Parts: sequence; C-alpha cells; structure tokens
Amino acid sequence: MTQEKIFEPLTRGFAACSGCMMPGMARAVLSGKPDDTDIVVVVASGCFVVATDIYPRTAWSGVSMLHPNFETAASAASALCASYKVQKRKHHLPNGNTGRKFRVVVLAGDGATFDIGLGPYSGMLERGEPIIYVCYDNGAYSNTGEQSSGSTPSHAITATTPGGVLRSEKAGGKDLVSITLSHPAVAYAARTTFSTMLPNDIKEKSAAAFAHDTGPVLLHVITPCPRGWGFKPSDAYSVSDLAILTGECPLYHAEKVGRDHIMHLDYLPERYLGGILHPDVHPITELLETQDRFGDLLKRLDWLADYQEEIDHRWLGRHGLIAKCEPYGS
Amino acid sequence: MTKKKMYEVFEADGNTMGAAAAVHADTDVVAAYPITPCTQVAERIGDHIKRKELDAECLRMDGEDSAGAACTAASIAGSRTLDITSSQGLLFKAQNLYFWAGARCPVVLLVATRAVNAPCNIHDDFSDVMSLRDAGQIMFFAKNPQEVYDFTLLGFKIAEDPRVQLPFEVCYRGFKVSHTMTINKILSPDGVKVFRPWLGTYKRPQSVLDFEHPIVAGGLVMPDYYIETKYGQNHGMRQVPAVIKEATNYFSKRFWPVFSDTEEFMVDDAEYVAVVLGDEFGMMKDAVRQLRARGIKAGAIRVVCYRPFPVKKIQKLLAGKLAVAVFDQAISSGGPSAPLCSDLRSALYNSDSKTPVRGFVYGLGGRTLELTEVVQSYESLKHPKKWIRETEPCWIGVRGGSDKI
Amino acid sequence: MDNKNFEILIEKGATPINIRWHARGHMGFDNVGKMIVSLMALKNANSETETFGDASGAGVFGAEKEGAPTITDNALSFEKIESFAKPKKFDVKVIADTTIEGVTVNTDETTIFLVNAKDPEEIARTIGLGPSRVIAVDATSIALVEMKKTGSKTAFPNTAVMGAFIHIFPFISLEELCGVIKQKYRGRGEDSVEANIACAKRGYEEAKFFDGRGTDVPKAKMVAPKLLNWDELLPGGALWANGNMDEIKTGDWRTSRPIRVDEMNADKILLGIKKTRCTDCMVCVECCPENCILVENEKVVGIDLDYCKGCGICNNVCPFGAIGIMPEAKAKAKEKEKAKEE
Repeated sequence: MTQEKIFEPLTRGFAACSGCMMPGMARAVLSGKPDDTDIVVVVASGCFVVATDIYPRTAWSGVSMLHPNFETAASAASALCASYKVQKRKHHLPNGNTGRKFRVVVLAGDGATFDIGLGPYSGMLERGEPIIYVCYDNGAYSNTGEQSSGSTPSHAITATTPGGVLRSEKAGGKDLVSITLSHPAVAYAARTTFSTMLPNDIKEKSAAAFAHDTGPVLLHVITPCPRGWGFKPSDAYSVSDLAILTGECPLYHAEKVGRDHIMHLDYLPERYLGGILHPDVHPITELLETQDRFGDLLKRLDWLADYQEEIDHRWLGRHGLIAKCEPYGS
Repeated sequence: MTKKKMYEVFEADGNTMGAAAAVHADTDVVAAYPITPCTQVAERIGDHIKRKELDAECLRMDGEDSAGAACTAASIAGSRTLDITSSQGLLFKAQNLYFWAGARCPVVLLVATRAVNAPCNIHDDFSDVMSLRDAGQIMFFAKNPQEVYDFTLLGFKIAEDPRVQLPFEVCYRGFKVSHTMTINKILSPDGVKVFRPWLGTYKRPQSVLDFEHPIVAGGLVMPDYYIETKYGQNHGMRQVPAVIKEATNYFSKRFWPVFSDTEEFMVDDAEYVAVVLGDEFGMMKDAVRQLRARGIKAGAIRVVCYRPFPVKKIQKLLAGKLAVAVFDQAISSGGPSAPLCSDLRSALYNSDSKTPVRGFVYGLGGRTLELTEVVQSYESLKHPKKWIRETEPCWIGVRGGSDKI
Repeated sequence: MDNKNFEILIEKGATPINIRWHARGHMGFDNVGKMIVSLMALKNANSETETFGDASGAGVFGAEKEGAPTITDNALSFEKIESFAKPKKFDVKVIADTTIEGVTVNTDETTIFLVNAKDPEEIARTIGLGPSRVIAVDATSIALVEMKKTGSKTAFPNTAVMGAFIHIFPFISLEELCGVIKQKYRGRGEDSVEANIACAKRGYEEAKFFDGRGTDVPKAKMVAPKLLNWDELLPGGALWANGNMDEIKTGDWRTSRPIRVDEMNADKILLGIKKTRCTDCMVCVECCPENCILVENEKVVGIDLDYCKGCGICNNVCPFGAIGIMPEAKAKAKEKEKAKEE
C-alpha cells in the first residue's frame, strides 16, 4: 500500500479538531468509488464544510463540491442527478458523453438530516435516484456548539440539554435506517462506524454503496466526536469499540431484494448471544464512563436502568434487531 | 421568411403561456412545488413533456424550499432551470433567491402573485414578491398572459448572459392574469427555429458537472472576501439594463414588440400621472381617458422592469409633472411609503424634480380597485396641500377606514 | 519590582485601550475576556458614581477546533465604549502559548507583550517580538504546581497570566482581581477558587520585566497574504477544487507529538527512521485522521509533521506499542539538540 492513491479527494490541512473522525470518515466512504465513476459531493452545513472550505482555500482536490442551503442537501442532490440525465440526453454535458458513470454523494451530519432536513431527505428517497447519502452522526449540532439533535442519545449532556434532561421521546433518538427503509426505492442502507474489531466495515459498505446503483443508498456512519462527547482525542477507537461491544452502536445493513429490504447483522455483541440477554456482559456503563456527556446519566440509577433497557430492547424487543435481521452469520 | 410566419395565435391564460415559453426556451430542469395559483404552469409543462414537445427533467419536489435548492443545484450544474411559486411558497423559498443571486444562478422564476397569510387569502396581491425585492434577482411585471410568455423567453436570454448571470423573476397577478384566457401570439415552429439559436444553450463557465475542472460552490466566505463577491453580483445587476435593451431590441425587430423598462399612456403632455405595476394599468388607462374627456391632463405609467429600477427613465418621464400618484398593492407597515412608492420617491429625490408624490395602497387580497376610486385619486392630485404632509400611504376602499382619498 | 515603565494609563476622553489574548482551546482564555469585563463592572459597582469606566470583551469567531489557536479581544476605557470594530493596533498582546504564530501582527513599538514563558528577554528574541516591552510569567508551571497542591483539576494558566497582567493597569488591584476570580470559579468548587487565586497571586509576584525598547531584539517578519480584487475572483464565491487547503499547516496546532519507541531503551526516545517494535501492520496509517503517516515501499517511514495535530490516535491503536507521545515543546527541543549534534 502506498501513499500515492489515484483517487485522493481530500488534502491534508483539514481544519477539523485534533482527533476528529470526519476526515477518516470522508476518505472511507469515498474509498469505494469505482474508477469508471465520476462523482459530485453535496455537503450540508456543518463541521464538514467548515473544515474543507474556507475561502479562498479548499481541501477538495479533483472533486466538485456543492454546499447548498442547510436542510436541502438531499434536494440539491436530486437535481444534480436530473441535470446530468437531461444534459446527457441533449448532448450538452461539459465534457461530452464520455460513457462514464455518475453518482452523487451527500455528506450530511445528524443535525442536517434528522431534524430540519428530514422532509427533503424523505423526498429524495421517494424520488428514487441512486444517490449515496452519508449521514455522519455524532449526536449533536457540533459546528455551532454541540446543541442536541434528533439523534442525540437519551440523557446525554449537550448545550441544549444540560443536565441530560430526559427528552420527551422516551424511546430515544429516531432510527434513521428504519425511516429510510420505509421508502420502497431504497437499494441499500447500512449502519457503520470506526473500529479496530471490524476495521474494514466502513470501506466495505462504501464499496457496497457504489455497487448498489438502482436506488438511493444510506450510509449511517456513527462518528465519534472528542469535543462533543468529552473524551481525549486519542481515544476515538477505544470509545467506538466499546460502543459496539455494549450494543449501543449496532452494525448492520439492508439490501433490497425484490420488494423486500433484507437486513443482516454485521456484529452480534456477546451480551445478546443466542438471542438472549447476558446481563453481566458489557453493560452500558462501560461505554458511558468513557464520555463526559454521560456524566449526569451515570449519577442517576433510575436513568441508567432505563437506558440499559432501551439498549437491550433495541436488540431483543419484539421488533428489535435480532427479530428483524437474518440469522447472524448466515 | 415574413414576420407573419414567426408566430401563431394561441388562446391561453398566464400559466399556460408561462409553460409554453418554458417549452420554446428548451428548458432543461423544472423543479417545482404546487401552490395556488401557479400550479398549472407545472401541470402544463408535464403535458408538453408527455407529448414530447419538451425534453426536460421535471422533479417532483417535497416543498418550495427543496424546490429552490433543486433549482440552485441544477443551475450550478449548467442546466437551464425554471421554478414557479406564489405567496407562502415564495416566502418558504426566500433563502434560495438570495442564494441564486449570490451564487450567480440564472434561474427563471415565475410568480403568480398572491396575498400572504395571515389571514389566508389565495387572491392577487404583490405582497409576496415585494417582500423579496432586495434579494438580488431581476424583476419584470407582466400585464397579461402575452407578457408572461414574452418575459419568460427573454428572461432566459437576459439571465444567462455572461455579463449578468442572475436570477430572473416574472411576476403576474394570480387569477387575474394567471387564470384569465386571452388571445396571444406564441412562436410558430419557424419562429422557434429562429429564436433558439439566438437564445443559445446555457453555458455556465464553471460547472460542478465539469469533471475536468472541478469546483467548490457555495462554500464559506469570510469578511475578507464576502463583500467582493457581492460587488461582483451587483456588478452583474448594473449590466442588466444594457443587456435588456439588446434583447428586447432584437426580439421586437424579429418577432413582435416587447417593453423593456416602462410603458406610458399619454404621459408626454400630462400634468397628473399615475404609476402602477402589472395589469391594473388597464384601469389607469380608462381613468385617463375619462379625465381627459373632462379636460384634465392625466397620464399613466406602468413600471415593467422593477429590478433594476429604471431610475433615469422615471426621472425623465416625471420631469415637470404637477403631481404623481403611485398605486401599491402591497404595504410596508410602519414605513413612510409602500414598496413601489418608496422606490419611486427615492428615484426622484436625487434629481431636480420637486414633484409631489402621493402613495396609495389598494386591492390587498384581490379586492377590486374601482374606476371611480382611481379617478378620485387623480383628482386629489390637484390639491397637494391637502395630502403633502401624509406620513404614510392612503388606503383606498376600506369600509369604515379613516383614510380619505 | 521594576514595573513602572510597563504601566498604561487610561485617560478620560481618550480612545479605548485594546488588548488581544492569543491562546489555544482549553487554556481558559475565553473566560479571561469575560473576567476583564467583570473587573470593570466591579470597579463601577464600588465607585461612588457607579461609572468608573467601561469594558468590552469578545472572542474572535473562527475555526475554534480543538488545538486551534484562539483569539479574545478586550477594550478598556474611562468613556462609554461604542464601537465594536476590530482595532488596527493593539496596546497589549498576551501570548499564552509561545508556539502560536503571527502574534506580532497589529502591533508597534508601543505595544506591551505579556508572555507565558520563563524569561522575558529570551522569549522576546526567540519569538521575534522586536524592541518592545515584554513581561514574562511562567504561568504553565505555576498552574501545574498549584493544581497539585490543592488537588484541583481546573487551574488553567489563565489566572496566573492575569496576575501578571494587572501590572499594566494600576487602577486594578490584586484584591479586585482575586474577587473576580472567586466569582467566576466558585461554581467549580472551593479548591478551584483556591488554586486560581494562588495562581493569580504568584503570577503577580513572579512576573519578570524586560524593557527592550532601543535594543537589538529582532521583530519576526510578517508577510500579509495578498487579497484579490473582486474581478479576480470566480463568480458567486466559487473556488477551483485544487486542494489548496494544504497551505494551512495544521501541524501548528500540535501540543504533543507521536514518536517511535525504542524497544531496548524504553525511556530513551528516538526520533527518526529506526524501527524496532513496528511491524508495518498499517493500522496507524488507516486510523490517522489526517492521513499523515508516511508510507514508502509498504513500510511506515515517518509522520508528516506539517499536518500532524498530535491527537494521539496512532499511539492508542498501535497493537505493538511502537508509537509514544511526547509534549511538543520537548520534542522541538530534542530536535534542536539533534540538529546541533549533526
């Protein structure tokens, strides 16, 4: 493996926090781009665009990027697909009809996706173009100071939930993959993160995303954030691994087969081995202790019990992951 | 080819004419969200596409803001783009107008103008478009379905000009123009063959679909550069009058006459002049005829191109007039005048004019302006001392209202 | 204490005195801006007329990322402050971290520099502050010592620097400063207040002064970036996607550096290409967020120090413990030693 890769869309000098996992996320989700495909990246407002584009400098190298209004990344992506199609038909593409493939990739944070952008996101999924939508999710609006978003976990301290006040949706944040799979045109949806245990998960799912070109694709990348979560920059991988082990961050993917979306687990935590609860194995406190944002949650036994139940229910509930996914390892 | 073969006769309302123009201009992308009373533009375009009269991508958008963003992206990708809306939709789309202007996207936006909630009213008004007159787009007001067609065609030509690269808004009153059928001219197939080469294809100098010259568009710009980019945008607007003149001169010679900045009726020797936007001009002309019959030298002006505002033309037209009445179908509550009157008074201030200007507000939410009210308004111009100290517009036709014409 | 030449007297009717604090995230300097304003508010409250003076404070909004340099500005005046525009020249520049670049911008020979360092003349020559007045206070060491004493985790270097700072403004007393510190930190507990007050007092007592005016202390050359005219820009604020952000050397943000550990001498740190524990497994290369671990012929050969931010992820993920972490200042010093030997 050499340093000189043919497709290196982002230079160094990325203006993100020390230890931020965004640059790694971006490189990993774009790594699956085949050589015969041209892309345009649409970035929603957030840390990513601020880190890669401060006039007159940009970290983008050889790839076009569009930053539209905050909540409309998905809408802009749809229009790019339509533009390409019609210009190709009418023979006025800037480079002519080269016969190469074209995909649009959206990079949007959880802030841009779960709340203000959810309507446009749903519209994009329903229109059905084969857009790759990457939601890099750190559970808060980071760029503006860590305000809570529709993805913030229950009881986490953010700038707008200080004291980890119980949010009104007792069941915790929205399930983006489920929302996505309720749109029939979706070709592939996956949840992924960084890990030393499954080091190639993001890259493999990026390759799958590019391979599934019959409809929209979601890559939901849980992206640890040292500043927002309150851990040392060096610990991102340890935190991520614990999130997987404790079941707080499930890893799975879904593919469209016929009219169904078939779901597959990519990792089954030992805590849920055999489809039953092993309560002493990797309790959620192991993860919570690694992050300052759970400081208040750790002080309240009732909240802890409630949160542990919430995590377990995600796996073992009637419509939990074990029920919905194909048998693990099959 | 004689002039006659350049057009054919077509009975249609404003919305249908807008759609016809989109077809003749060979639009690439239409991304719209329906709202009364503009929806039929999109419906007609859909029919044209079905009948293979237009090859375009029509996106089913989930909201006006989404539609605006889709148009942004389509335009930045080098597609000729059309958007349509009214009222609430325009306000929901507001941020996109600023984006188009700032990012230099020549999107053509058709607005069937309508009152803005609250209360909810689907009838004509200029409140929606006036609220965004600072966003940086070119604005033309059409007085009939014919002009909706003409200005849409010309809009693409003017907006896409390399000297301009700005959005182009065609405003026409909801229902009164959008849904009223009239007898019109549209380009004949021979006319289209002459028109299209002149219009050309949209060539965006930098496009996100140019993979050999990739760009980053819409990114962050800090205080050290932002005002320079805005100056560039405004510089485009400063070139617009010359570009309009070139376009309208050519079109008028080759096809049929079109207005480029104002339309006048008996203004040359008039002493009392009314100024208005859009189809209400017809009413003004009726009032002028009635007043002239009684020996009052009345005249009327219609502002056609509202942005950029024809400052010098207005100054010239109103030089030496005894008094002017400006009719606004929108308000700026708390301000000294309503939008059109504000701009007109500003235009006259830095000239030698000492002409007193009276502002009127009329017709909000589709209320009919009566001929008698217009005539009364003209007559009030004869006695400036009675209204010269007014600190806000006079509201016409409000039952129980305290403003007296 | 030879501080008489280091006073700035604020005069009635004069334009405000402008102060800029250069720091990095997590040094407590966003609080300093607020504390200065509180100081003036306290003086107003204690004065008979309740209008002693006015103060304003603001952080400069930029890329406030972890490790990135931060800027806080204060203005002090005996008149009402009415303008919030950025001044062209600063009367006082506080440098809380000597690795920050560009600190001499917007200064002239009248500017007083207050630096978090051991010796004022030495640091003036090292950074290139020019022939100016320099106050040095070893705030980092003071904070560390006081932190150990009280067991508190929140003694940042800011309060020690503030202790030295008040030498410049005789109208502020040490007692008033301690009052404001107490107010600011009481939410964090008694030991925090105690530690920070101790820091402030020591900062005041241990400040060292160097009047460099008329001496040969060099001034670092600042090259201002060329700003383009409106018609030299691509329309609409667009940019060519040519990756020119690599002109920003984010390596400047680094406060600790990854280094290779020698297996034989666990406490002797080597810089350079010698490898021992490293097996070229490439885990660090994959995990580095900045993509700055260099590979040649399938072997890990080093780190691109222009961009390494010192996050320490490589140290955390290396399965063989082949990468250690060293404070950046120490690593720079070792580099200098090595360069001298060669």
